[in-house]
Amino acid sequence: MVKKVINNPKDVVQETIEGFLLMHPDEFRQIEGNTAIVKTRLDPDKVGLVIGGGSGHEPIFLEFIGTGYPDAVAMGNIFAAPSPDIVLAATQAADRGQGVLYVYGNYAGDNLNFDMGAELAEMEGIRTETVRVWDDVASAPPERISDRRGIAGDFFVIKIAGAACDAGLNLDEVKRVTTKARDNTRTMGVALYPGTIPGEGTPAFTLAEDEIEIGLGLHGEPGVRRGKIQPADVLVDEMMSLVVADLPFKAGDEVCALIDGFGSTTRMEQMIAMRRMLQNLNRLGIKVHKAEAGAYATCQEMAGFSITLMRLDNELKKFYDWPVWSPVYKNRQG
Amino acid sequence: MDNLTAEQVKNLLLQVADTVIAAKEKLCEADRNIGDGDHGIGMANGFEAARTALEAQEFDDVYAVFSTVGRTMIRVMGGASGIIFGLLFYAGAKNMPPQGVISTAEFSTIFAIALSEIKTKGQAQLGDKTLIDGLQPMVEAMQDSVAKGEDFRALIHTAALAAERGKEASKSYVARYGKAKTLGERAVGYPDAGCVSLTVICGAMDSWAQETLAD
Repeated sequence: MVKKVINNPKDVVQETIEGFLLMHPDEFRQIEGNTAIVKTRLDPDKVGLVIGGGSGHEPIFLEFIGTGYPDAVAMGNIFAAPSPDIVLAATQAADRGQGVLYVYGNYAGDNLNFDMGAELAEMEGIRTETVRVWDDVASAPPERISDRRGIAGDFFVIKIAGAACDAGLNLDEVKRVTTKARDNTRTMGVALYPGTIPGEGTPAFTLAEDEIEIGLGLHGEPGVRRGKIQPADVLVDEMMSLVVADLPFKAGDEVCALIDGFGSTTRMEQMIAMRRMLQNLNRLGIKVHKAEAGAYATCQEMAGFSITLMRLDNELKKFYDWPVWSPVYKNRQG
Repeated sequence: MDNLTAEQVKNLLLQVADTVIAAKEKLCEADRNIGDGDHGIGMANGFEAARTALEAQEFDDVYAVFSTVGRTMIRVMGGASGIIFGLLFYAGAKNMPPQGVISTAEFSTIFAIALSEIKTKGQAQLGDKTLIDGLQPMVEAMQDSVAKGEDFRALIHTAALAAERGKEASKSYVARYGKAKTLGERAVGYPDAGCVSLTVICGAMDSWAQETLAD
């Protein structure tokens, strides 16, 4: 059994939400009877932004809420999509008569539950649109891009969507900009150690001491293939070559770049990966507008890291730099 | 036995709930091989809530029993399995006019509608290594059984055997849906976890029918 700082495993989702809300009592509140939260103050007449997904990946999705960030977050059980009823509650809480955009990772469970949530919302007279994030290049070939999973690229796409809503764009325009962000974002990850479900003893997969899982799943599900652990520069080079070739990113492009350490990879390792990533981008003639490192989309104890690039144009750059305040981004805005 | 009453359907589904809850770890294990290992947790949560909802009321409408179970599972479970297993009980019952008893043909139709709606919503086909691999043969076997005029015991037993065969067949498939789809050939040899759950559900229905319904 993995040692964890929890109480009853049945209570982890609710207690996580309670902890977050007690930290930010004035900004956010729980939507009664649901594992969903909403901002206490919503600007009138703006498109609502609702995100969500399984719990256990914090800070995503729970803490991705704030000014210029999503208005409401629908949380499911550990690694499981929120039910349609939770999605509906978040939608009703976020709607200000201008409709609601859903942004979430492209997984069967999220797709099914958000789609049914959208059906329920429509019956309540709320118009919704959806952008599914599918940035994981390891999870399907380019010709089946809509089969790909959403991983750390969620961060970039949600950030753009939040800014576009805050800027007062209408629902169709917010969807267009968010789709553009999604279509210009690519990620590749590796896992060094697996994660576990809180309260369950067995990891979702096991790795030999010298093995890594390439193309990890964010839920502890196995990746696409096994390989031997390599020096950081070799890993970064291989991951980047897949990311860069996939879009493809070209000399003269301007990008935002992200190292996600999944919460269990140290800051030191993140910086070592960052160093090589930025050196490579420089060598490729790709200009870096902003580089970020930290824990974004995590999976409990899972260690490893992912590299995400988002190609910018002037519009995406403007929204990336939009002044925002969120618990996950308050010190790094603008 | 030509018809089941609402009370019998309630008892049938209570036995299903108890059996799935008891199979929680087995279902997690089935999911851990090729997924994320939480399938049993969701199924047990869903059926615990469904059992509570069933026990809280008396039913005189057979379809209300099914839709109570299905809608409760959709509401509390989340995940792909919340919708898919919720629809298994909800899709074929939600728009039906109330009636006090259900025939073998009507019972079979519930699952046929569920199959159709799960295929539409999930966009999965036979051979994609999903619940469809068990549910489609099960529905076909039930329709054959109804056409032959068999009774409920035979109908449910036939359904359970077909679901079991479908689960076995799912071992040979490459996943094209859900969290196992990125595994490619690595998923071959393991059954789909949803198919395993369907065999648990059908096995519980079969036990109930053999114990409860007279020859």
